[in-house]
Amino acid sequence: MSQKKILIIDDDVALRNGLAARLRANGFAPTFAADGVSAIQVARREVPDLILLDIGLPAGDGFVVMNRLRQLMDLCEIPVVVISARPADTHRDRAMEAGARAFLQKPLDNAQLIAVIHEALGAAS
Amino acid sequence: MEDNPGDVRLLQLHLDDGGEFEIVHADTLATALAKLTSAPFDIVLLDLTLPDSYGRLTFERVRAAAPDVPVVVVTGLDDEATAVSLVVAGAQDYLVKGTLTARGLRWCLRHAIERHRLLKAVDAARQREAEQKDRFLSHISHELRSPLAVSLLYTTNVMDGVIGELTPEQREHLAIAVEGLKAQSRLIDELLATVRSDSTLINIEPVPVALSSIVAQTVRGFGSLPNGVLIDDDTAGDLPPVYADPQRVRQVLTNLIDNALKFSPAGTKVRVQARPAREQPGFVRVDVEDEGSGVPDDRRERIFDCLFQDETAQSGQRGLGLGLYLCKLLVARHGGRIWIESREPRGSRFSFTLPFLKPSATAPRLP
Repeated sequence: MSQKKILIIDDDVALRNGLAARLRANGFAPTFAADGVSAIQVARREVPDLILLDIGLPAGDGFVVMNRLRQLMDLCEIPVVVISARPADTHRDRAMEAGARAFLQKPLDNAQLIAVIHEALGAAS
Repeated sequence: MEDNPGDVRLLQLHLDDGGEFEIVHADTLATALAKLTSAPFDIVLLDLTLPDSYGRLTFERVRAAAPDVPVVVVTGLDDEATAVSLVVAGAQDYLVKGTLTARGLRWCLRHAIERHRLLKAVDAARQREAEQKDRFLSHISHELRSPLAVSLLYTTNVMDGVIGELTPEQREHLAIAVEGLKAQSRLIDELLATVRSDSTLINIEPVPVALSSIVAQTVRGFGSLPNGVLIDDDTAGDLPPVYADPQRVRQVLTNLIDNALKFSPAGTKVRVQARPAREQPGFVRVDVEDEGSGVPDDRRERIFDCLFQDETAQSGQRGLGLGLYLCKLLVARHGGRIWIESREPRGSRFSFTLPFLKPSATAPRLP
């Protein structure tokens, strides 16, 4: 089975790298973007199987990124999982309405993260 | 809006003096609504009995068409109960035909317009305040959780051997560090939830909702639990709907289940159950039971107090003393109550009540 590619969009480099190590250990191939604009460029170039998306980003926040992804024919089917340190009670519903598969609050629960990724990938394929 | 030509003439006479008011007249609800939505008005003087509408419904239709325009009701019915119910529903005033004077009427309209303007200003200020609070909390949440997220991720990465093999002792030490970080994370959740629900600004938006689905959803949110603790949901699916804020009920339930899990020995059960409350008719009662060591009398009395700390809890399990206090506030805002029964030494049962949706009324009055 080929490795599933996961795009991590987060402006915190430490979090990106830590998450990448965790994902590699679970058999995924992580790629990165650090802001809203390059997120779309990287997504186009890499065509990931799944996107982990932070909300607070420079150059277009997570909601803007999700909207843009939904409008792009080649990217609109990629499942998006939102990972955010913002309050769940005000951001979860917004994220789900924007088309996210799940809203995971930071600090992330690793087991839950991996389970959600498997579930989203299973549903997508 | 008035269909009786004599009354129309009288009102015009009363109001024409001095050019303070410019009058537009409509004699059916249909023409009135068309005019109301086509130009801005400062106030509506409304006869409840029109050829095409009658009574309270007339008022409700006008309000629906122009929620921003104050309404003074004029009617021939001298009925105090109708008057009060319309003012509760948002009418600025209620005038009875035949008792009007020119001065009294002008006075009433001036005040109604001014009162409406002030209410709108207060609403806008409250809205601004709520938005400011949301922004503030979002910022604080991000600032407190982000560094913690990084620490927890790297510590668990090392602990789980993602970076390389560890000795059992190294792993044990990291596990303790992880517990500390997780406890910190729970404290942040609790703190933010309480600041958000500050008693003076506590805001609930009750709707008719099925309690069984809230319970099921909340229980599902806990996923599979460590050390084999089970959550048992015994809520009947055929309970009548409750009148409650789903998000707030979830918050209370999450808090109580969290609490029960904290004191549950490995392999035991946490039982969640909802049924009609025998002790409070018209209310449903929700129980969360654990099989922990129970809560002794002296602590039971203070357990819902603000900043109550359980000295017997381990440091990692101790909260800020806000969780159960918050539950008490939220349940009280719904008109329900919350209490604890100890089944010492077989565990404790936390219970709270919520109002069933009353079949007659659309909205029970909330305290």
